[in-house]
Amino acid sequence: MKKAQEEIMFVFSLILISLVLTLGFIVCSIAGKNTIEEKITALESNEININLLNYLRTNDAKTNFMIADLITYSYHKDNYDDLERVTKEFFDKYHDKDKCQTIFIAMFDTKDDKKLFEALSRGEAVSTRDKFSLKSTSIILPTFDDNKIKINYAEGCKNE
Amino acid sequence: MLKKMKLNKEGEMFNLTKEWVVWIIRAIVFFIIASTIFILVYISINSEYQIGGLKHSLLRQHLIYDKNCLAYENDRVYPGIIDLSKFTQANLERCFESKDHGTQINLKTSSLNTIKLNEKLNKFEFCFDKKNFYCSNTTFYVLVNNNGNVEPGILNINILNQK
Repeated sequence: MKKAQEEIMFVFSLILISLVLTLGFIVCSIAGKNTIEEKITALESNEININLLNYLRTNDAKTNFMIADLITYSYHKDNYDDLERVTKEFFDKYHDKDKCQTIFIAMFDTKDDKKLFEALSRGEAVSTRDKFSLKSTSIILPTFDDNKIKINYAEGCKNE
Repeated sequence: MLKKMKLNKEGEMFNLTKEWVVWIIRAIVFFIIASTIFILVYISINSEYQIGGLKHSLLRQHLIYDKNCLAYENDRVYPGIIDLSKFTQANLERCFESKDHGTQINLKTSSLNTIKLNEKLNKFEFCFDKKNFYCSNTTFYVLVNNNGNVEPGILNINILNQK
């Protein structure tokens, strides 16, 4: 009886080994088709800084201010009409509406987090199949009353 | 004697069934552990670090930040400000050293200027074959210095390389 029992165990272990090998084969063939991609995009997100920097360095022909100076000036005057106009000009020039779903600029008083100014440019409706990535950056500008203005800038564009 | 044998036989049958159940449980546990090890090992072996995007990003930043490429220089380098006099085929071929990357650079101010580098890689429609080529298309809002006159512009950099 013991011999028969050993034989059964032997057959059973053979079945087990073949099952494990089959599993290994299945895992290898499935995982082999779906290679995992690890993307390093840290540097890419730095590139958006150039856009914010150049937005702030753009000269406004009407007021003859750089936008960075115009922000401080508008803050002290508490009038953001000129800033709104130049920001709209920036959107009109830069925003590729087929590629970027949204570009967003917001300014806050760092003392009490009060929103000072906000501008948004929306792109055309796009297919849900397109992959978008939201990149954002921020900068702090000093004011004449020893306060600071935080400027947030974000772009949601297609990954191409 | 007969009764005892019968009991023994039943007992052995019972033992055999009990051992089977134990073996089945052991097999299931073994199967789960083995499959977990297989999956974990295979995923870690098979993961691939795709650094195509990183390379493209470095090349783009090299073009924009380097004074030998496009960056405007006046005592210091101004990253993001493009010197229009540097936007020439000869200068960009000299500064862009990668032979494996096809590049198309469009600078739009009041006019549109286009420069293609490593043209053998992008002589057809740019990135027509996304299966075999890794492509990127990035647009920057730049300021263009044209002999001291600064105006806003759009710099579009397309880069592709074979996978």
